[in-house]
Amino acid sequence: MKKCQICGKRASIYLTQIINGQTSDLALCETCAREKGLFDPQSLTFAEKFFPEAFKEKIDKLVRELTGTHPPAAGQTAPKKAVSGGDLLTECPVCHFKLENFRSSGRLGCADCYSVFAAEIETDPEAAATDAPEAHLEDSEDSAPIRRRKLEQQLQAAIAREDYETAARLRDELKQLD
Amino acid sequence: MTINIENLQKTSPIWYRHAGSEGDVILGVMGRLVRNLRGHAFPGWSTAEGRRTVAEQLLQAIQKCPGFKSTLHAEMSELDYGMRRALLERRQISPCMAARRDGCHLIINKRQDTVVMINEEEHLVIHNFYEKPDFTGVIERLYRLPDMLSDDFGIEFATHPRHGYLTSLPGEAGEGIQLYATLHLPALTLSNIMPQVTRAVDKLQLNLAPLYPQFGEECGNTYVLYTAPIIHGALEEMSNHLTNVMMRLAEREKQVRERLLALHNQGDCFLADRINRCYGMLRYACAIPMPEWLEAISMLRLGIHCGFIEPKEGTTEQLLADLAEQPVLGGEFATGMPIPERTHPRQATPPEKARSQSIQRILSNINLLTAPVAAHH
Repeated sequence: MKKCQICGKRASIYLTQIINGQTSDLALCETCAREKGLFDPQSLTFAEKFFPEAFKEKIDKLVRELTGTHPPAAGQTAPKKAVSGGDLLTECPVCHFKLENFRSSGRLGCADCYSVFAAEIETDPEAAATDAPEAHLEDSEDSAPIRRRKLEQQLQAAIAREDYETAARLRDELKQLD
Repeated sequence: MTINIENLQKTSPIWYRHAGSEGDVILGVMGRLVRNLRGHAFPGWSTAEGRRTVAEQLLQAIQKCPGFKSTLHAEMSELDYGMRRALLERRQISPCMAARRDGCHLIINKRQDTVVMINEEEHLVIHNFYEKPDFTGVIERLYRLPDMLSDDFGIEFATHPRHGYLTSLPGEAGEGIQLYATLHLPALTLSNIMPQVTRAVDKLQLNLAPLYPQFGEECGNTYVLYTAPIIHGALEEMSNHLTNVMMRLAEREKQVRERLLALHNQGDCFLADRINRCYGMLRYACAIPMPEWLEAISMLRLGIHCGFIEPKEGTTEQLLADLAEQPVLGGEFATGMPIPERTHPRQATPPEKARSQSIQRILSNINLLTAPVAAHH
């Protein structure tokens, strides 16, 4: 039984592409095939006949993409969408847009929401970590309200655990923001 | 200048304006560019005051830009339902803009090939129509205004190093551009293969939809082929991809037309029958509703392209241009008239009557070459 080359689940769609005499096989599960627009065999056949160049290009591109992708090892699942951690801000300090608004509408309130809700927006956890507000604490490009909100949270946490050295440093940073 | 139906109808929609000059299949292309201002909430979340602030800042700058000093301009709250509907019918505004009110402004340039919407889904939305099948030209025109706004007026747009231009929907962030092509595909439609073509296009990560979905899936045989919002760094690739698929579709349409013509020459009256029926309806009807009008004009243009119809005087190009100048859209809705119910008998509306009178003047100047041939077979 072949496994899906994207997520490692059981494959149910098989495509064979011959490029310069070299055969490449694609094995995908139904979910991944749908995501990549490769479901519905009748339409695929029609697309191949009606738009041969464009279709070949699309498959070539997919094969190239998957060449470097190894299916996850047994028992390992595909990377899940990043979910909010316990310390995730649930409201944008700039426009007061709430996380629940994003979850219900799929829209954001302002450009700063991209940093505030990075963990929710990004499908790539590494990218989310780069965009998250805490990753930008030392980065002067981040907006002041986000910095302030995060520093205040960290200050409260430092006081609660009686880490007065850190609290003093955070207090000074907050003063600098004024 | 204010936006009203008289000013709008001075210019016909661009996808009819040059019908025939660049081939009868590709009627025109369009680009949509979106930008948001840094430091302001997106229009869907901002307050009326916030939208007004953004609008003032943008309007002051836009009105000083070359090409935008003499324009049609209105705040959306000034436009009544009929006018909004007319703009929507002409595809000059988006459905989202049609629903907007306070703090949302619409600017249309004199040629009506550039439409600027302020506080639509995003702060600044620009639609540019271009009669040639050239997306590079559209992209170049789309960039002109935002470039002037940022270079000459210091307006900063919200960007992200990895996402590109930021939009209210995270999935649409990127180049902030979407590209469209308007295609006239009567032969493919007559051959009943449009559903398969639509699904095939979908497999190539593009979309194909009817231009007038409100009148039915295949009404007017005119379709829009378009990209999803283009992701950061993929503008050139998607532009080339769309061009390739568009040209391929045009080529297929021409092949099917030739096939239909070959069948006609072998004695099959299918094509001549469709064209003649539409000619008869246009020639003798006293009032023509919009869906029938769109269908019949499409068939007439197919007839001209296939050589079934020729002008008694003047050139074919002139005949196509005369057809293009007909008051195609905006009549019923812009006068504030309610959409007529489909009951029988119902009274014909003034635009329906005006359409028939107008087209009959044109049709009295043509020769229908297929009539005796089709009748004979």
